[in-house]
This record gives sequence, C-alpha cells and structure tokens, in this order.
Amino acid sequence: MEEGNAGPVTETPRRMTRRRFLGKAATVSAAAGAASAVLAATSDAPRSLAATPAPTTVGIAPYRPPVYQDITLHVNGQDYNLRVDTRMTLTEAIREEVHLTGTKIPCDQGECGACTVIMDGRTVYSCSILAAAAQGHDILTVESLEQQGQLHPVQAAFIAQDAVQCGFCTSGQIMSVVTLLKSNPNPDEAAIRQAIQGNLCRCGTYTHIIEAAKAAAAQA
Amino acid sequence: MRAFTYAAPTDLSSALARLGAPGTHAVMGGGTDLVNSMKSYIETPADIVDLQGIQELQALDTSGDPVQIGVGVKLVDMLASQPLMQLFPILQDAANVVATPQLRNVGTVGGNLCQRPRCWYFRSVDFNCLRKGGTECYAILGQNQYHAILGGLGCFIVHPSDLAPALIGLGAQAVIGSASGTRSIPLESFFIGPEVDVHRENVLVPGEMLVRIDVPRPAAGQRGVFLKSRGRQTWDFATTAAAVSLVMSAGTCTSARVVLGGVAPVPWRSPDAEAVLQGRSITPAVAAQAAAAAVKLARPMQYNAYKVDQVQVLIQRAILQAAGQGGS
Amino acid sequence: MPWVKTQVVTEGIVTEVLVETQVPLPVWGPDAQLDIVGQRIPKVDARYRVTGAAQYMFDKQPPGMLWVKAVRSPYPHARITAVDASAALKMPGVIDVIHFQNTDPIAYAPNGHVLNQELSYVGDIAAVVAAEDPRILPDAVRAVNVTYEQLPFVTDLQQAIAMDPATAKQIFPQGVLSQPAVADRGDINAGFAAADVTVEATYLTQVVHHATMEPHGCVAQWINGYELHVWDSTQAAYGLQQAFAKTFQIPDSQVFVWMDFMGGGFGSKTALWRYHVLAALLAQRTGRPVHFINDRREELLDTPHRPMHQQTWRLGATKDGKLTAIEMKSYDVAGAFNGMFTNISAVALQLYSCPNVHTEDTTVFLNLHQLSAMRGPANTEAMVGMEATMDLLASKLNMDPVQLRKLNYATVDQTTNHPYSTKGLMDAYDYVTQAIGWQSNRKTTPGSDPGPKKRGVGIGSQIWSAAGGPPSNAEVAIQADGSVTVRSSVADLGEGPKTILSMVAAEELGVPLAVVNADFGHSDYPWDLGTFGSRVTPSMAPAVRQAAYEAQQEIFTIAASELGVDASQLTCKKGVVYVTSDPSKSIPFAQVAALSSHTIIGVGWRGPNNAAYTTESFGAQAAEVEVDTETGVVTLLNLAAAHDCGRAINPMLVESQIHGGVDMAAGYGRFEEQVVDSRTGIPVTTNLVDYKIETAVDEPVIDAHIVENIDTIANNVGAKGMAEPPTMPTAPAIMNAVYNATGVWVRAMPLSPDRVLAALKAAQPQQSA
Repeated sequence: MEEGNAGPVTETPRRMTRRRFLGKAATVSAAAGAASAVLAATSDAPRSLAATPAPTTVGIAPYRPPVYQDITLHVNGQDYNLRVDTRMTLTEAIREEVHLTGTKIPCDQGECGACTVIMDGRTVYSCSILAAAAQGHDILTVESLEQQGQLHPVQAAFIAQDAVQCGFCTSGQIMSVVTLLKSNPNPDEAAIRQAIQGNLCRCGTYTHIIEAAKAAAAQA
Repeated sequence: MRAFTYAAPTDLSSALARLGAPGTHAVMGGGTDLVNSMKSYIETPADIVDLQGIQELQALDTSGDPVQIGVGVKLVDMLASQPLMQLFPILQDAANVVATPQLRNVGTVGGNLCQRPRCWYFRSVDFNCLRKGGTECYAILGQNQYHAILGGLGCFIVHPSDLAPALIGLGAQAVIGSASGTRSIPLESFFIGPEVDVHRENVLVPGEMLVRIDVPRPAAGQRGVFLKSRGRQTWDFATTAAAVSLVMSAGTCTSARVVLGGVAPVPWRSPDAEAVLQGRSITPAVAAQAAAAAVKLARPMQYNAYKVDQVQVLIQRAILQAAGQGGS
Repeated sequence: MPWVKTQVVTEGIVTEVLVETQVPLPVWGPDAQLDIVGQRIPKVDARYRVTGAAQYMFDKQPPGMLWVKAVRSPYPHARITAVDASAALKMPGVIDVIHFQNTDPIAYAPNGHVLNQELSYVGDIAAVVAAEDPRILPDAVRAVNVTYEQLPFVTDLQQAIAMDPATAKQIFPQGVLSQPAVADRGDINAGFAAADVTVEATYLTQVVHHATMEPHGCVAQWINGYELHVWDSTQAAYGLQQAFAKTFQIPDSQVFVWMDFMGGGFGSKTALWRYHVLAALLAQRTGRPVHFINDRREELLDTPHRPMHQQTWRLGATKDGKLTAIEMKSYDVAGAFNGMFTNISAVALQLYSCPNVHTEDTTVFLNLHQLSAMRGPANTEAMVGMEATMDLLASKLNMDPVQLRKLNYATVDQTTNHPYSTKGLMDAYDYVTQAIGWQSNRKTTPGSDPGPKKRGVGIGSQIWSAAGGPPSNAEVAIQADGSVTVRSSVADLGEGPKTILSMVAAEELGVPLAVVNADFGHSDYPWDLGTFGSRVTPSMAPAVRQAAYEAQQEIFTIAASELGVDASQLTCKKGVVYVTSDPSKSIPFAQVAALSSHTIIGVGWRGPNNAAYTTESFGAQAAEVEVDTETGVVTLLNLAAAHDCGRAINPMLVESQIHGGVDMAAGYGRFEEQVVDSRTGIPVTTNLVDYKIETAVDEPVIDAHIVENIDTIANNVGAKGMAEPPTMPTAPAIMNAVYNATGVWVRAMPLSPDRVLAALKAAQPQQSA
C-alpha cells in the first residue's frame, strides 16, 4: 500500500492513483483479453484448471504467533478475569472460559443468530464480537434467565407452546424474545417476527415461538 | 484469524497516532464485518484499533448545519434518534433494512460505509480473486447474478452499503482523519471504483480513517426515499437499491439526486437520471424516463440482466414516492 | 412366538426383515379410552434445551481434548503429489497431522479410503490437523503445504449430459451418466395414443443443503486403550456403532456411541462419515479425546445434500381429465459418488391412478460431494414435476386442478395392488382448499390481477411410505421407586420421540407421564434402526407399548399375590394397581415395584407389518402468493397444510413437524440453492447469507391441520409416520400459485426474483428492436 500523506490534503492524491491506474489497466486488459479468448471455450467439456491457480497466500499476512491479553468479562452479573488469545470471540470466551455452553456457534459468521446474547440490554451476535471488545459491557446469556430453579416466563412459554425442536437455535431465539418483551410488553405477530428475524431456525419453530412470545406476554 | 494486538484508545488522537505507526492496522467499529473477514483471512491486520471507547466518534449532533454523525454511531441509535429520522426519512428507510436487529445493535455508520464487498468470490477462501491480490476476476465468466451492471472494469463487485446511497442522496460529506489532520470530501468521492484501484473500495490509505459524516440540513420541500430489493425479506444485501432525494417546489422538481445500490462497485450516482427530473413535474412517465436514463449505459453480465429491469422499477417507485405520489 | 419375514418400506426402499411376531395387544382404535395418548403435551426434555443445559456433541469437552480441522482440496479433481506438514507441526500446540502417506489405509465406502490420494471435489479432505487450541487451527491448516496435480473434472449438469463417453471416463471410471433405471406399468405408447390431451414440461430442481444448525462432527475417545467412546450428533447410534466396529475391526461390544441432544439431522447424519473415522483415528494416535467439528463453510462443501434433478414430465389424459399416461425422465445428480435416492420414480408410479406409466432415471456424476437422503428424499423433488405438470394439464383441460386430482385419485397402491390401510387425501384437499379460500382467491384466468402485484393460489400433494417396521426394540425398566425408564438407541432429534414414547409407555402401564423417563440415543441400548424415513412413531410406539406390557405383566404378577387375585383380574390406572371389578382392592404401582427382588424389565420389539395392505401418509397443501411482477419477488402469504398421519399421539408435536416441513420446503421453493462456479468446480454458496434459509419474516402464515384417520391396520397404536411428509407439497404449491398469479410458469427452482423476472420477460410478446 502507498505511504500516508505528508500534510493536509484536500483532494485525492491523483499522482499516485494515476500511476496505479496505468499499472492496473495493463493487468485489466490482459485479464479482459484472456477472458475473451476463454469465452469461446466455456461450453466445452471438462477442462483442467491449469489456467486457474489455486488460492495462494497473496494478500494474506504471513503467520504471526498468538497474542494473549488479560481481560475481564462481566457475564450474568459476575466478573471473570481471563487470559485469552486476542482472536477469541465472545462466544468462545463464554463457552470455553466461563463454561456456559447454552450459547451455540452454528455459523461463526453472524449469519444465523444462535449465538445471540444480550449486551447492555440489546441483542448481539456474540460470535462477531471479540472477547477483548466485550469488556466493560453487561453480558447476559440464556443461563441467566432461570432463577433458583424457576424458569423465566419466556422459557416456560417456549416449553408450553412447543417452540423448541432440536434446540440449537433456541437460546438465541429466547434472548431475542426476552429483549422484545422488555420494550414491547404486548407485541403482535408482526412485531414478534421482526424481533426474531435475525434468528434462523431450521426445524421450523417460528410459528410456535410467536405463540410462546404472546403467551409469555399475556402472563406478565 | 492471523494473530493481532488489540487496543481500545479512549480518544481520537491516540487512535490516529496508532494508525499512523508502522505495521498494518484496522479500525473496528462494531466489528461485525472485520471480525468475520479476519476468520476468512480476507483481512489480516497485525493490530486492531477498537473505536468503541472514543466518545467523539459516537456524537450525533442534529442541531447544526450540517448535521454531524460520528462514524461510531450505531445504526440502532441512528434509528432511535427522532430528530435525525425526522430530518432524513431516507436514512430511516435505509437503516431499517440493513441486516438484522443484532447487527444494527453493534454495527456503526463507519463500518457500514467501509464494509468490504459481498461478492462470493471475494468472500470465499477458495478463490484468490483479483481484488484480493490474485490475477483473475471470477465473476466475469462465472456466477455473476449478483454482480455489477454499471461501472465494472476488471472487477465487478457491487458496493454492499445501504446507507451510502441514501447519504450520497442527501449530499453528505465524508470527514477523513489521520495523524496529520482532517479533510472533508463529498461522500460520493469517498468511494472509488476498480478503474482507480481494484484492491479497495474507498480512498482511505493506511493511516487514515473515516471520522464523521456531515449531512446538510434538508432544504424546504426536500423528500427522500430509499428502496431495496433482495432475495429474502431480511438479512440480505440488495440485489438492487435506489435512493432518490428530490427538492420539490410548487409541483416541480428543482433538484434531484438519484443514487443506486447493488448495481456498481461504488454507490452509483446517476446525473443522467437527475437531468431528466430537473425542472420537471414528476409523473410516472417522467419517472420511467429518468429510470431508463439511469441504466442507459448498463452492461449486463451473463446472469444479471434482471438487475437492469429491477433497478428501473425501484428508481421509478422511489421517484414517485419522493414526489408524494405514493404507490409502492 | 413364530418368526416371519415381513416387508418393510422405508423412504420407498423395500427390504425384507425376519422378525418374531408379538403377542397381540388390543388395538387403540378410534373409540379407545386413552388418558395420555392424544393429548397436547409439551416435550418432556424441552426444559434442558430452553435453559442451555442440554449437552450436544458440540458442547462435549472431555479433559485433554484436541480440536481438529481438515486441509481441503481446492480443486474439484486432483491427485496429491506431496504433503509437507513440517511448518504446521512446528507451531506450538499442533499435535498431529495425518494424510494418506503417513497413515495405514482405512477402507471407506464409497470414497475408497478415508484419506485418499485422489480427491474428487472441492473440500475433499487432503489432510487433518489436530491441535490443542481452536484459535491456532486455521493458521496451522494454512501452513500445511499440499502439492496437487489437477485432473479433468465436471461440475455442470449440462456439460455432463453433453459429454462424450471417452472424455467422461477420464473423470470417473464409470463415466458421468449411468444407464437409466427404467420402471414400466402398462404400455406407455398406448397410453399416449389414447390421450386426447398431452402436456410436457421440464423442471430443474436444485441442490439444497440440510443446513442443520449443529454442524457435523463428533468427539471420539479410546478408553483403556480398547473401548471406543463417541459422543455424536447422529440419527442412528446403533448403526454407527456397527460401522465404527467394522472400520476399526473390533467387536461391536467395544464401541459406545452416545447421542443425548442433537441440533438437527434431516437425513444427513444417519451414516458413518469420514469425520467419524478421522476423529477416532486421531484419538487412537494421540491417546487423547478428539473433537472433529465442521465450520459452516465445511458444512456447505463437505456434507451431503438433496440432489439436483432435471425432470421432464409428460402427461396424457382424456378430455374429461382421466390420466392415460404418465412419463417421467429424470437426470439425477449423485455427486462424485453414488448414494441412495437418486431414483425419483415413486411419485409417478403411485400418487395418481393411471394404467400406463414409464419412468427413466439416469444417475449423473459430478465432482461435488455426494447426495444423501434429505427430509422426504426423492418424493419431495419429484412432487415438483408431478404437481406442476398436473396443473399444466388442468389448465389445458380448462379444469380445476383439485378436481383433476380427485378424478385421478388412487384407491389402491398400484405398485402392489394392495389397498391402502388408510388414506385421508380427500379430506386433506377439502381442508386446504377451504382454508386458503380456493373459490375466491384462485384466479380463474391466471395472471388476471390488475397492477404489478398479482396474487394467486396453488395446490400440492404428497404420498410417503409411513408404515415403519422392524427392527425397532425397546425396554421398559421399572425402578424400585416405581419410576419408569424407557430405553432404546432411537434418536430424539427434537421432534419428540422421548415425549411420545413416554406417553405410550405411561398409557400402557397406567402410570402418570411424570414418572416416565426416556433414555435414548445410546448404542448399547435395545437397538432401533434409526430416526429417519418417518419411521420412528409407527415402529417404536408398538415396540414400547409391547415392552411396557411385558413389564406390566410382572407388576401384575407381584400385585396379584399381594391382593390374593389372579393377575388377569387387575388393571392399573394413574399409578394405582386395582382389582378391575373391585377398585377398593388396590396397591400403588410404586409399592409393587418396591416388592420385586429382581429388576423388572419388559422387552418389546416391533412386529411384522400387515402384508395385505400398503400404509402411506398422505397430505395436501395450498399456497397463496403475491408476485411483484416488476421486481420478481414472490411473497408467500398463506400456506394451508393438511396431513393424514393416522393417530396423532401428540397433536402439538405433529403440528410442529408440519411447520418444520413447510418452512424447509418454502426455502426450497423460493430461496435456497447451492451455486457452483462451473469453470473452477468450486461451490460459491459457502455461507448462510449466500445460502438463504427462510427467516421468520419470510415465513407464511401456516394453517396446520391434522387429518386424523386412526389406522388400526398399520399397527396397534394407530399411527403413521409424519416427520417428512410436510416437506413435499410446499414447493409445488408455490410453483402452481405463481402460475395462477402471473399466468407464467417458472420451472427452475428456486423461484428467486431473477428467475421470475426472466420467465415473465420471456413470456412477453416480442418487442421490436
């Protein structure tokens, strides 16, 4: 990458971009030329991949050894002093260090919702937050809901309305419903669907989750 | 992920100083794109600078002109700001359709604008594409149903941000900071296409970061609409999107901004569409004409010709809604 | 009791099983007085799932556990020429790296060996790295240097169809196309000759993934050096025990597979996969427990899926709508290796009454992971072609699609000429058409709604083998305190066998449900074939009932001596054993249990099926859609589903299965697809944003209805299988509804906006240039 600017600049550094542009154009036209030559061949029967190199390490930084950091996480009302690899996500810290395995990791990409926890009163995908970045926040997991053997009304409603099948998405769904009911104590179906839109279920519990949310709301 | 050091400075100048130091750094807002990109080795910074502790970046000031939105403002807080939403309903349209509640609860304005593309070749560890430093754009002859119909050159990504077209439609400015000071450029100039640099989507060079978005207060008679079409009804990037901001006076459009999403490597402003609307009263025929002008130079790829029709529909609908003529 | 051979049909596959007949128990018919069975009862183990206490395979972390990750082929077809793991092994915490060169070959069907030199698809396993910390694994995997020689490949169906055999044999020894499997009934040519009207259409149904929320994987550990213990996410613990034992050449009795909770299977977790063997192998080599778990990309690359088919259907009928000919020709994509359920001919042969049927199924090999069964395999895919072509026929005949179906209703199983034990399909059609507002909401002229947003309704049907059958075994043990344990290797995937089988045991024993505990999913328990094919309810319920009855006999024998009567004079209800004719003479069940000096265990198994009947589940669904014809977006507004499952042991759980099938299939119809870049052979849908699963805001409003047709012929509980059928009618109903809404057929699935727009555009009158 290019060097930084030496002083206040009010326009994009054109000299550098033009140089880059010329270089890139050469590459681009070569690619375009190669593309048009190949275009005729696309409907052929099998081709080997000689023209298409396997993923290399271009653009990826070389190996660096782990970096460890002391952090304090506040989970379910308790502080946990941990020494973690900075790459550890919040979900991993919850599961491996605090030993609460109710929060699951089906995708580890913020694309399924099962890792949903409540952070400072809001639902978040814990897999997409570094443990180090979760310091100084109030984190609640599904394990915080049951109090002295007494289920939270949302948990009880999930059971009663059969809103649980395989259960792997359930913790995240429950956290989303719990959060909804805090700000909207009497939600309609549309509001409930909006609240769980970021929680996938492969077993098809959405309809019964709506019933459970309504039942829990009615109970309050 | 490649290992990294982590720091969470509490003031902006410390963050900028750290960014300017040797080594590779990445700033982190909510981190939802950065953290997940690191898992796929798309990003391998040696140092992460977490911005969440910097108050200045989370400031949202709707009292002045321009309205100032710090890059650390979360989308959920944008949506919760009544003054902001009343000033700029187009931002409500856009922010409301980004991702899911969980992602809006941590995702920041800066992160949304600076997020990397969703092109499945770019995102996949199995392809070493041109943008990542390889030699080939696989979309050209490959599965390009989600790729660009405008502005592609060598690389055919589409810019994934929903906020960007809406903010450009509002005439926003991007304030960029570095250890040596700040500069302000129009937000539409913040984004760069592959003809400028195929490896990045915006002008930022190492040592720089986006610090604030300034949005001029709306003119009298200004109305904006953002529409997005996508595969699922949530948690999905735009197949096409249209941000239209019109200033209407006595039934005539005195100024227009038309910015497209999901169709080009940058949020695609269309002066041709704007020229059709300028000085005209808005009718369905005029809206259709503007939409056609916006795609006049579109070059569909093998599988994305539908975008040419779909984006025109969104442009027309957005124009008519912004002109107060309803219909959806 | 005598042993007999009985026919068992599971997912359309017919097997013959030798089984001992059972002492007959009174059949629970429509008039049976049942206290527990038939009630809406919450799942007995849901509490553990809602509290986060349930331990899945994903959660198991025995002390000393190693984590592993595979080095995977970047090419669709390649030969490994060198492996250099030295850099990876130098990293602190990396314990072992295995590949074909440093391990003894372990046979593994169908891929050849568990670690191969020749790799057959992108994502195929080249090497496996074991490390102590999951954070260091991705770096370690990247540090393993594998050199590949690329080989010719094909991942595109059209390319495979067009390929010359010589080239094809360079890729697969068997070529890329099999000889077609042909099925015939009657005379197809005569059938078409007799038709007044013939219609034909071709459909492309796409690859979709099971996409279980819990990834595939297992934790393997060798205990004392000779016992293999595996915590698994599996639908078939017993089968896995056998497969592990065979693979490692140890007795079955030295292998223990346990599954307590699992996060979804849908047919993808019924077999021994390579991660099983690799985990056990690494555990053997390292002497430590090993956890092999896929990440989501690996789930979408290296696990099985519902196969792709290109189906061409032709129907012939008289002008009054009686079918004279059904022909289906299908290309069925297996992947790099063959598997079951490529043949999709059953629907054509069974669903509608037709004397002349001809089907051809050609298996196609492509360099992708092989298929497996996925919720309602074969019938779910074939139903699309069958039902959409029926609607095409209906439109050509100017006939209501439901009328056409009713006119061609099959009253017997045409493949065996046996009557159906029960068939509630008429009721299902009637319910869903009424629920969806068929009369008012169906467009008599398709596409006639004014404006760009157009609505319509469509119908779909289903048929599915639902008799169950042996082998299914259970034991019911009565503890000294009167509590009851039901044990079997059967897996509870969350659909509720623990609950319904506890209900059956409690009902038969006459004790409260609360005292019954179901302990399932352990391979060392009485074995059940597995939780797939909608077989558990009709197979296990009678087995559990029998086991409970046997245990009850022992209780009655003890109680009889206490009460001074004959055992035949006793009844037990609500946990109290009493003399039937004089209830004042009683003794609590728990007290009787305490008196026994030996463990009371009743053993039950599923007896033979009724050879004179065919037992299938039937159902129908109706969909209402709104199509934005300008953006191509299809919104699924309402979905009415009615399914005949015999007796619903627990109606609330049956409803959940209906919701689940509909949700999965609504994704199949509208969003989900595996997309492959055919130039490189690399799938590009390797994350859950690009592979689009239905969310709560995409879901239609579902009206789920149980057509209760207690099937006293099928088994003594009156129940049929139910887990898969709701997946079958949905996508056809959507496709038919889109036609009704727009007047245009979209025959390539999923019905994504780009496909809908392309179909609408192609149907427009040509514009001048």
